[in-house]
Amino acid sequence: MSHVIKRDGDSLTVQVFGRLDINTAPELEAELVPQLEGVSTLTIDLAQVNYVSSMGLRLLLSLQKRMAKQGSMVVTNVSPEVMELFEETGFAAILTIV
Amino acid sequence: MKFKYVRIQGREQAINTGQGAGIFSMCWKLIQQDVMDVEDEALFKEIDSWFAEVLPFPEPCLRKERVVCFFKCENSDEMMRMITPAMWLLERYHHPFYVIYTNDPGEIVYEDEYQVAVKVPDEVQTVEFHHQWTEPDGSIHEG
Repeated sequence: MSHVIKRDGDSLTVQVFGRLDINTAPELEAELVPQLEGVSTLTIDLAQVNYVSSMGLRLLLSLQKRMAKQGSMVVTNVSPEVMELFEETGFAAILTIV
Repeated sequence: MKFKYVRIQGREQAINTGQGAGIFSMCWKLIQQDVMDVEDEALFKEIDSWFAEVLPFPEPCLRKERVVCFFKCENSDEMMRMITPAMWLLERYHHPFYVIYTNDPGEIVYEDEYQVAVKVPDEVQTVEFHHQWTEPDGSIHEG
């Protein structure tokens, strides 16, 4: 299992597990994007994520762009290793990380 | 010192302007030359698509005139945030780039909320090698 998606009204939470990379990001995107209709708050929970590749960053950016038009997106429970990547790539300033 | 304009450019000269190639050109070149891997290419294209949506494409650039573009510092916080991952990609591939700040980029021929396009002079200006400098003891070295 690479992710779990939960909807609560106009809020959607995605728990991601393991790696967010070229193998898992496309599958997550294919399942998640159709469910963003009517969502105003998207939460990406990375508590169980130990690796994010450029493809993962691409997905996060794409989601951020989409949600900026219809509401907001936050990324939560980022590990120190993933946070280091976010800071190195500039994503720490692009994403809302709580 | 506060600066009004900023540009990110490379060591290589763009063939149409003779000036340092811009960051988008450099990244696209890495893709065209199959240097960037598939994931990094996807990331850059996502970045590029954001700029395509948000940043107007200056008419002089559409007409392929000899211009280079600078962001306006006062309105470009978001632009700089969004371009930072592209700079990271250049570093990842050890592709040198420079961040140029200036208050006088030259003759501005286009302007919008976020950027200006500056006419590139027809002639390349050169200066002789500088033979004078101040020595540590304060004396002037004459070359």
